[in-house]
Amino acid sequence: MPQLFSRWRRVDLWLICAVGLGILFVLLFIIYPLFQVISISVYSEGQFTLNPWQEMLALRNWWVPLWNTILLATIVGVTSTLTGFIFAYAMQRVALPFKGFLRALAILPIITPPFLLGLAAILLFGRNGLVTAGLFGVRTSAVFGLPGLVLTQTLSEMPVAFLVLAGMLGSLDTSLEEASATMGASPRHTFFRVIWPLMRPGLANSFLLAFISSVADFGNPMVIGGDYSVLSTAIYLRITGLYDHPGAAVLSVVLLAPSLIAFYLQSQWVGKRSYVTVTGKSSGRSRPWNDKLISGGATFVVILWAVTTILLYGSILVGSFANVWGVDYTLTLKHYLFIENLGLEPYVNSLILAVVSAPLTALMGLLMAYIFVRRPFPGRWLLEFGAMLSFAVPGTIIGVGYILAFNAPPLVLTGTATIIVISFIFRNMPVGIRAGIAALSQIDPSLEEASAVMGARLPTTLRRVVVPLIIPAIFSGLVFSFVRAITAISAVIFLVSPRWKLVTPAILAEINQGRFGVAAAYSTIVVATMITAILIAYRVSRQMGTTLELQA
Amino acid sequence: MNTTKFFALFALIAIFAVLAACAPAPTPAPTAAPPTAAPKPTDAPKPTAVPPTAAPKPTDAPKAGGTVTVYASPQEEWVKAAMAQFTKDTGIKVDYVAIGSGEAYTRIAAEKAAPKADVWWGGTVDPHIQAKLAGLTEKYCSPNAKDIPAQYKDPECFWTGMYVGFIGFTINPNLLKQKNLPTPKVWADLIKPEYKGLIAMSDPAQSGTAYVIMATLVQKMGEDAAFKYLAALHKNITQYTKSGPGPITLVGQGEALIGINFAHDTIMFMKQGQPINYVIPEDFDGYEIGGVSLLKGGPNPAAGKALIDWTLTAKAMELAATANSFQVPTNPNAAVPKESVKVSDVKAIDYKLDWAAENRRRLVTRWTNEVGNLPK
Repeated sequence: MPQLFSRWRRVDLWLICAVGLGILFVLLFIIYPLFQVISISVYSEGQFTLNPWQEMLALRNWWVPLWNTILLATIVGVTSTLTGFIFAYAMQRVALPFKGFLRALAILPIITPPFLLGLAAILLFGRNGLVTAGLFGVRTSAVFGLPGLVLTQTLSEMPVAFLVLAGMLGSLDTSLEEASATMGASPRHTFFRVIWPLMRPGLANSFLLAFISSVADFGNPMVIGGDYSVLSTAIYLRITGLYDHPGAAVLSVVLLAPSLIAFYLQSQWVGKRSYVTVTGKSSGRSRPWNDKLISGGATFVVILWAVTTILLYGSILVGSFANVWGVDYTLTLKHYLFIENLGLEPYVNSLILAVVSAPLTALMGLLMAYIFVRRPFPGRWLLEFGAMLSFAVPGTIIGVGYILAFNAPPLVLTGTATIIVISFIFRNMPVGIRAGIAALSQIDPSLEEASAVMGARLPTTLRRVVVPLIIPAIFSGLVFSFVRAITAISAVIFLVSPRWKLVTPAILAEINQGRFGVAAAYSTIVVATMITAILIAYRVSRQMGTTLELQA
Repeated sequence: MNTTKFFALFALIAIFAVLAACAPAPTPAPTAAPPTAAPKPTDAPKPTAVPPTAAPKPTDAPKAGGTVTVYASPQEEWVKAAMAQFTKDTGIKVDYVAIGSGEAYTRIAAEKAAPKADVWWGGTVDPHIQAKLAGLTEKYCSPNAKDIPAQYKDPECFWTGMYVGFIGFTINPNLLKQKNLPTPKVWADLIKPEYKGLIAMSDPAQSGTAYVIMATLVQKMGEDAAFKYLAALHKNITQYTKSGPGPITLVGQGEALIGINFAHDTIMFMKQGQPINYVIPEDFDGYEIGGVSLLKGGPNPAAGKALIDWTLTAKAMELAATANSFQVPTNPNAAVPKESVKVSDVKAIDYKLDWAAENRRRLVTRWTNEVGNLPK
């Protein structure tokens, strides 16, 4: 306790402001909208009621979607973290050709609107799939359901794991590995005894991220879920198919359970140990090494993954030029002409709002991470959990909650671009937080103190010490917020307005109409733009190197 | 100790950044800058119960003019063509969002306190009826609805039908032939054991299309017989899709050989080159109506009424086919597209819309408990 007080004695106005601001934002833009939706499950026409709960629990097998959701999320959490780690490791520690290309490829799955990956998977692995029937002569619908979901969700969550882990692996002090090697440890021994343990916070973070975003994902389950029913689609369809808002609210409460558990386990597993490794700026780049088993295994996984990804995206590209998706592959431009006829505004709007929201999201994430890591205060886990909520809840719930909360005074935001930007910020912020926490918890605070002691003023310390050390995390956060903003769908369906239509609802509409060619063409345009943007961003960041200014 | 100031700076930047986000987008947008409302973080959130009269009203409301705001549920190609023509004919500008009928209903319900749109244009009528029951729509008897048959419009004028779509069986003729299987003609054919694992339909617990199918069977056969039929059909189902037109793609890709869905959806896919065809069941058939409703408390009701009047004209309805939409128009003076289902072929039941809407939850729950969980 004395320690706590000595901490708080140093607290100045800035701290109170920042924490207060964080709490206020989380309350206003996450808790309040969610509360609006969830209260419907126990509150009807001014009265407390448990009818919706009784009604939902009376459904036979009501627990099946819950179980399915947890099972899927656990599998995907493990597979995507594992592949993400292998990928990050291979990128940094194994000699591989075409690294730039592979890196770009790694980001692809998150820059594609979610529905299309599922469709492409059906084309490749369905009953008439190019791979299943064409290559192996197997006719099976097995891709619908759990296997297809694991495949597509692993592919779409892996990049997140990769971004989180690559930033972290990159900032590991290589001198630790060198020390291990000097003392005679084999590379394998070093890998399992030095690198792996140091990566634990990152691994846990990426597992948590993958787990809860699998729980919240509804794009893939919609397209290739088959009879495998999960909570997110059950909620969406209860709202849009049965107009049963109370029932959907009940399911939303149920859905929060697995996310809560994941969050709790994660904080138990990593929370209580120090993982400081950056005690000074690391001097050297590590050399690729030659443990055949590890390098070989990693290379194999990367190649397998790359081939699958290229096939999936290849089929989207081909689909955008093919006359009839999956049937007639005569080349045509008609899907692109169709889009031109409908107008490119949604696409331009998406770009604008993503560009606006990305730096804000990254900043908010970093601010939160800084509060959590450097200024622990009583009840911070509550704030942390609040901040994670918006990520864990399906966008449908957030979207409806935003309308309920911000449609009428005091805060009228519906119909504006602002509400879309805010939804992007608070929905994607948790990734920035996670990346920031992972990066910051590796930096010894004494570095900042040393800089301050030596007379550096705040901006200087920030620019010369903190930012260079967490650049990979900032950059990951930026890139990720940008792409998540462009591919967001379930929340924005309810927030787009005549003036601010976005590209993903347009793609969803085309898929609902069965115009897969048009959807593929839209996606091709989006993906191509984003690849260009990301390549430029990487080049810029590399040129700036450590001299990158904060305002960049 | 300077470290505490780091995040103070972050905080400052974040405040400015968020405030900046509320200003019009910095990059030149193709559309006008959004109406701005700076969120003041200091504002305490309050409950949103505000009477609809608090909705901001444009000044040019009394005469039909200005801009009408529309939530449109049909496919966007049609919406765009129709709205452009409406503006040309009347001079009233249209702001529209294309949004599926389930989402549109949810959005309209959530916006109840301060409605943002004037007209809900198209989409299956079941959620329109729900909207009427929930008090979200306004009574409007359009003069142009007089020719529209009574079964295609609400007797109280809360919604009016603008098109009709009939249930059909989507088939993949090549694959049926390959497997030496006959084309199904009547509903009873679908439960024959030779089609085991070959039929797709949407999930009655989740899709409006599937509910029309189920409600048709229940109304024609009687409830218990219909559920017996559905249980038998269940054995032949390879997959319950989540969306109404979902089965068509499965049939096109060969994942299923027969799909149960709306025929006009099948026709649209055929036009796109899918190797499929459709059959109208010979014994009896159900249908959906696409409706148009005036929303209660919208910003420009006069323009909304003008849009509804225009929509119900024969000329407006004939526009659909030029934009790849092959539903049957409800106005008998409008020409039926040559691609559409021939109404004379259809033995439509006397489909009770209101009954279907009122019994939806009950029937869906019964289906989930008695059929959906059975082993196949």
